[in-house]
Amino acid sequence: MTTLFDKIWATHAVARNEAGEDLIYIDRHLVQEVSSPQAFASMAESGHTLRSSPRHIAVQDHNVPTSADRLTNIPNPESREQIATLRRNTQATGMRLFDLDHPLQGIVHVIAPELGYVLPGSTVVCGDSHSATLGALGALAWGIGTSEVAHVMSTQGLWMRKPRTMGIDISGALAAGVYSKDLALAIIHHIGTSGGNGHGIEYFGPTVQALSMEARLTLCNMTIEAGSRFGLIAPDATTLAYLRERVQGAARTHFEQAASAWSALRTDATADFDRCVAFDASTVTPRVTWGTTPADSSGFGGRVGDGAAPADAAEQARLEASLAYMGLQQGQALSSVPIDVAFIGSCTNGRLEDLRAAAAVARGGRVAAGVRALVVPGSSSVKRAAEAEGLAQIFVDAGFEWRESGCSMCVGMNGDTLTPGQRCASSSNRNFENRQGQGGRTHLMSPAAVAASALRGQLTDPREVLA
Amino acid sequence: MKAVITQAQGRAVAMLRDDIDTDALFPGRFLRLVQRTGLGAHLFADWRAEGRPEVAFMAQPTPARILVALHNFGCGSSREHAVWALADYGVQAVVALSFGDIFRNNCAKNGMIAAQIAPADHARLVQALAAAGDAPLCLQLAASTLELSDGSTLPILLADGHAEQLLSAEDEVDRTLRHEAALRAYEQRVQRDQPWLASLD
Repeated sequence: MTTLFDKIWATHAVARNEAGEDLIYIDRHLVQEVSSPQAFASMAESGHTLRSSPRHIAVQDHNVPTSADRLTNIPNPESREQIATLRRNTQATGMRLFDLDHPLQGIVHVIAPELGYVLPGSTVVCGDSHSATLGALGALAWGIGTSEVAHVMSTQGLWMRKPRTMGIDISGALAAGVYSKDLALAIIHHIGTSGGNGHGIEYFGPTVQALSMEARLTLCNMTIEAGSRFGLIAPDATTLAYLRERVQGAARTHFEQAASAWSALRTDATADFDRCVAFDASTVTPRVTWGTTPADSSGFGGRVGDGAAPADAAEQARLEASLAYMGLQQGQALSSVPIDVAFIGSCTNGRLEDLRAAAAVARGGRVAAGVRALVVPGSSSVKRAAEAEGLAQIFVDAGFEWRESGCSMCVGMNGDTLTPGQRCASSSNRNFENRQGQGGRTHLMSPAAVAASALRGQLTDPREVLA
Repeated sequence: MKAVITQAQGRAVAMLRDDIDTDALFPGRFLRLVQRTGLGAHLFADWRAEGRPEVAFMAQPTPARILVALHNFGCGSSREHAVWALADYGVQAVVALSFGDIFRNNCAKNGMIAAQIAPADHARLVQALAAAGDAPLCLQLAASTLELSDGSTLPILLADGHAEQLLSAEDEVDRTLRHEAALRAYEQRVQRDQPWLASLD
């Protein structure tokens, strides 16, 4: 009796060393422009070569401008050079690239599922910590550093000690206006920013089964913010329906045979996990972060510092430093905090369902005076689909900027940044200091909550606007 | 061949804050660089610009060799630039209550020692630093010890396999390619049993 995590691990462990590490075969590798230049360089310097080019795809996402003229205008010279470097490296090695002008370009963790590239029971890595997103499809997917990017390119394997496993058993229905982002923030608040360290996490239970594939991708995406590199959900009918429409090539040809094999991909018993946490989703309300880690959150009706119980002097000092950075007072009501910027997008919440949820809030409304509101679709495919079904027009009519796809203001590398002191309602994943721009202040929340906050000009529970 | 790492020795400084993330270690805008050298110039760039007390030690002319941190040091982004920047500045080891998993892994790939220490020993270490200031410490990898300036030692723990990696002179890719037959056998198994996974065309 064993877990889904262990089953996938066992089928991919091809050797073991004296230190107890397994050599894990990597079925799929995703490459982006930021974490790969030094990997391609070190591979060339050491005389190694790309072992199996069909097992890798590359995309430009972190650095790309989201302006309409980006094919001819990348203002930052370093960004321009990094984008050109990935173009050169993929051409030199025969790796497939989804370049800036490709109709399927987008954030790596958004396009990989769209392309049908991630299959249940497979192993997938990327030089990006949010690779846990892809575990929503029943794959072992995790983020690696640049040295391991080079190692996977040269060998198609990675040495790893098998992590312990943690099950998160979620029951209870999510209320209206509450989304998987809120669920993720509530779970991180519950287990802490390092609660998942050293573990691979599997989400399961009736609430998880009821989530759409896109909501599952959001839930798994945030797993790294609880310290675990792996978020995993067993494949089921929702997974198969999602994949059936998207898989290409051999996976399309052999789909029925694959679907039958995938049905065995499940954890045998809850007792098989090294650790198991039960979570009641029916108690979750729309959440917002007030501090500088994703665990620092409470409901919109709460107050700054709610739910924080400093265990010691160091934690108290961290809280005080966080609040000083955020420009907030302990005990201040969250619902009255004014914002300057609203950002809808990222690998966490840049998919079509996210834009639908935000548009349902924005429809017929108007972005508050003095607020800059951006919508950045997670991929060019999401952008086209949102335009086709009228979401883009809803946003534009309400005063939101409708932009080209990319990581944008989540990571602040592409020119979309906060200025010092600006406060942002953001559907992204990290409220770290300086993350969205030097001195920028980030409040994480669902896309619907970002839209509501944009309309009201202050942190706002989306249910107030949806009601 | 790669460099063999057996120890870290020198001045230690404490950064007594949980959850020091890799965005703080190496702010995102510097990720546009395509090289891996000279990145120490950007280590904690934003915190230094803000004059934050946690990084006051960086104003000293000689670099700290050992960083002492609390929980979850290096959490967040997988950017290996954080380790390259620490190493370029001069850090040889980070001793902490716990680490972000990806950061710790990146350390092992770059000759950086990421050593875990038990809470009681951590408290002794912080006390010793407060009392003895810049007196050098010595971390010995093979013995798994951290020697304080008074000669006493504290036990440290590395992640499974990391000490072996640091102590080895063999390039990791070369080590893996010795298992080429096992990698090929996997590919043949997939071709036979899971044809949906075999080809991307």
